[in-house]
Amino acid sequence: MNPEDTLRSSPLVRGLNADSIAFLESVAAVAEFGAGQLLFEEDSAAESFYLVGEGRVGLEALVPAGPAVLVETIGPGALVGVSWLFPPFRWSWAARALAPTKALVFPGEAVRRRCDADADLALHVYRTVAEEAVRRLHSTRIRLLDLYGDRRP
Amino acid sequence: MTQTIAPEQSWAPMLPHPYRVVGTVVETQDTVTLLFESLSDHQLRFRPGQFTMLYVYGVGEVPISIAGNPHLGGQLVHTVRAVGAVTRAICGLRPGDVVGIRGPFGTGWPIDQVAGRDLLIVAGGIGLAPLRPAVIEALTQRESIRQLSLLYGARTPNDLLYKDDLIGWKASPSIDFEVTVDRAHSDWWGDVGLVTNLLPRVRFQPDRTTAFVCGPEVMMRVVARALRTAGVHEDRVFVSLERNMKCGIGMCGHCQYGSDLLCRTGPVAPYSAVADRLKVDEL
Repeated sequence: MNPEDTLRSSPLVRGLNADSIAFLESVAAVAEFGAGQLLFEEDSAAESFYLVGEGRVGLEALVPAGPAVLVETIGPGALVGVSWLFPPFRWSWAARALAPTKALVFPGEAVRRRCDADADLALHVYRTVAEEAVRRLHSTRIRLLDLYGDRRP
Repeated sequence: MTQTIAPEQSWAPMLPHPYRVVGTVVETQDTVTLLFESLSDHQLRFRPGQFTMLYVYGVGEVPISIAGNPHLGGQLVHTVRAVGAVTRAICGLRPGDVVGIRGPFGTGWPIDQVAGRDLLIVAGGIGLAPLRPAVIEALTQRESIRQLSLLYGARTPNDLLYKDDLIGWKASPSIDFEVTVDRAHSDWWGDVGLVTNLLPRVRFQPDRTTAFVCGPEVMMRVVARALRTAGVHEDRVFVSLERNMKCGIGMCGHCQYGSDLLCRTGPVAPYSAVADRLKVDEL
């Protein structure tokens, strides 16, 4: 994974001013996860967010007496984590690498503080997160129809 | 409306030909693939995407897409999901049982129009069955196709069809194959999410792409819209519509869909030709 390419090909920085891009580059770090390794646990403090460069991440929920349920998988180019942006800043789901995964990790509080003073960055961050959230909401609604199930929805 | 019987259907098209079950594969808890051989001189040649009328004597007749290799003469493959009285009876057939088969009927996937283009095949659930012959045919013609991709969505990992095929396609350098399910546990190796989530994973040039899409109609609409957003022209997106086919030759009108009789002008149609009708309630 080339960190610079990963960031610059992301909608997060598309059309963003050079200073704000430089800020994101300055606070981003490369994180690597082995297959099966947790990025974060459900209900833990949401202190950062991730931009997947390589590999695949699964959002999962623990259920009694069985393996965790995979809620959604997230691949290269996509953001992992929304809860860092809104109070109470705790993860709703656990995230686990399903394959060897490399990602850029951004510190949530630092990005939020910068957004408070940088309207252009704030617009890009909130718009990118909103677009991703809408896409996942749309996807979830269609899956709720259980299209492949026994009965016609 | 005037319909003429095509020359290839000038033989008694309402007469079922006896076929014997020679093999079965239990695909999922409610879906079975059956292999048939003809007991007469009727040798069924078909185009990918066509269907037959399959008659269980004393129970009833249903339209079933052909799921086998179009190049293997003398072998007819159907994959059937048990959802009603006739399909439950079909799924209960055993080797040696005899059924009546008419056909093939309907249009096929326009695989003769994909030379020099990217071919993107998107299947949802049992919709992989009518697309399987197209995948086989596309792999046969692989050198004439630029990029060949297959995206497959299913309910759970246990609902995936043709598991041996899936393993082969995943390993093949000739086709980009991605699979996703709606629900899974953490031991699942594939993706979880909507099949359109897989579009960014495969290579295709939108203005040079033809797409074949088959699955529940909601899924086909969603995929067609996602492809339109990606830049694929609706004229180049083909869908397969399921309606109440009965005679198979455009005579009885059971499958009338607006101005079309789908057993003759379908089941495969350009999305641009049917998109408006897909929005009509109860059509």
